[in-house]
This record gives sequence, C-alpha cells and structure tokens, in this order.
Amino acid sequence: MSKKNVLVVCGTSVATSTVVKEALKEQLPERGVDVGTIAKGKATEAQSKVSSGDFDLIVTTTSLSEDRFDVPIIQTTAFMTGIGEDEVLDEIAAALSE
Amino acid sequence: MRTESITLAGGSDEDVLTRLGEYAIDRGYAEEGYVDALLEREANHPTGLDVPTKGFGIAIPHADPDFVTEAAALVGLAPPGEVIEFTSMDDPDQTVEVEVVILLLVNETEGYTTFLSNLAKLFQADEFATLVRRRDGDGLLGLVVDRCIEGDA
Repeated sequence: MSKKNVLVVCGTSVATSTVVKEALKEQLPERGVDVGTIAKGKATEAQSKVSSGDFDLIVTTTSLSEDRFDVPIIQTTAFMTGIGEDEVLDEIAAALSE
Repeated sequence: MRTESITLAGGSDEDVLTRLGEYAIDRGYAEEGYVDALLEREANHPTGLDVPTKGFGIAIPHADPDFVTEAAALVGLAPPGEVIEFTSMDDPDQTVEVEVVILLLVNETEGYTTFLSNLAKLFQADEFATLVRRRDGDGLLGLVVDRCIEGDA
C-alpha cells in the first residue's frame, strides 16, 4: 500500500486545520494508515491543491463551496468538540484504505 | 503569547467580533484593517462550535495572519445568563449559542501547533465548562495558560 496524502482544509489554514493535522498525524498510524504528507490549506485553495493529484483525501472543518472534487471529502469538527472523534478517524482510515 | 480575558457586552456576533478586534488593535496585537478581515472571515467560514456534552457553545474567530502583529488569545465571555449567536462551523444554516469566544491572533501557525491542539482538548474538559458557566474569565485564562502554554515555550 502506498503512502497516503491528506489535505486538511479550514477557512484560513491557521487554527482548526492545525488541530486536525496534529490529530491525524498522531492517530492515523495507529489505525494502520501509512501516512505520507498531511498538508494544510485554505478553503479557497482546496480545488487547486487537489487538482495537482497529490492528495488522496480532503478533511475539512468548514463547508466547501465547490462540491466537485476528484477525491473524497470528509467534513468534521470532531477534533475540536470531541464528539464522534473515534468514528471520524475510522471513517478517514477507511477512506484511505480503499 | 499574550492572553487576556474580556467581559463582552453581548449583542450579535458582529458586535462581539468588532469589540474584540478593536481591543486587539488597541493593545497592539493587530493592525488597522483587522476588524474587517475578521468579519469577512467569519462570514465566509464561520467558527461557532457546539460542545453538546458540556452544553455550551464556543466560537474561535480568527482572520488571516497578515494583520497580526503579536500572538495573543483573547477570551471573551458573554454576559451572565446571555449567549451570543454565531453561525456553526459545521453547517452554515445552523446557529450556535455561544457563551465563550476565543479570539485567536497567531502570525504563523508552526509555533502554535501544540497550543492549538491543547486548546481544542480543553474545550472538552469539565473544568473549562464549569468556568464558562460561572463566567470566570480569570479562571479560564489561568486554565488556558496552564494547559496550553506552560511547557510549550
């Protein structure tokens, strides 16, 4: 299985994407995902970043206005609120295992 | 990183953001233009978060780092018995009844990774919820410094 690259998106690429990135870095290897790059981006940059083909999945804390991306999108605030954190980690791991 | 607590006069989310943003400029944490950037950011990508297990809402507004001159976290509390309605980060059609607003002023994220991760964990802590309910600004500041900043220098 090749390394999986994730783009973490929030409004300004400053706060919540940082929280999500750290959580993924820590938790995905525990779920057997071979993590490559976890990059952060602003919502407005998501489309152009993903079109590079470098990413396998988008995890976003904010709703993205464009609804068409070439890779799966998972929207969650679980890493801030703690609600459903394990479930969303399972979901992310599953999406990356496909 | 500077931390301060502020008692808010209530009102709309825009009123509160304007108050906090102007305060940040007055204190030298941000440059002119910050308030507009903050309002625009919140309108495009709202930051209200419901913490259902604790029964309160929190908002973590922040603008692009360009206007930030010194890193700070300003903890604003709604007046006792009041809430401030913010739009939900999850769903722009939903509002969150916010009791505590934490304005994040960071000029680059790399140095604040641990701070931000610890802060997110704090939202889920019982002590944090208790202090929010009591509107104990000094207590909240102490908790933020203790759990998020100390040892992360």
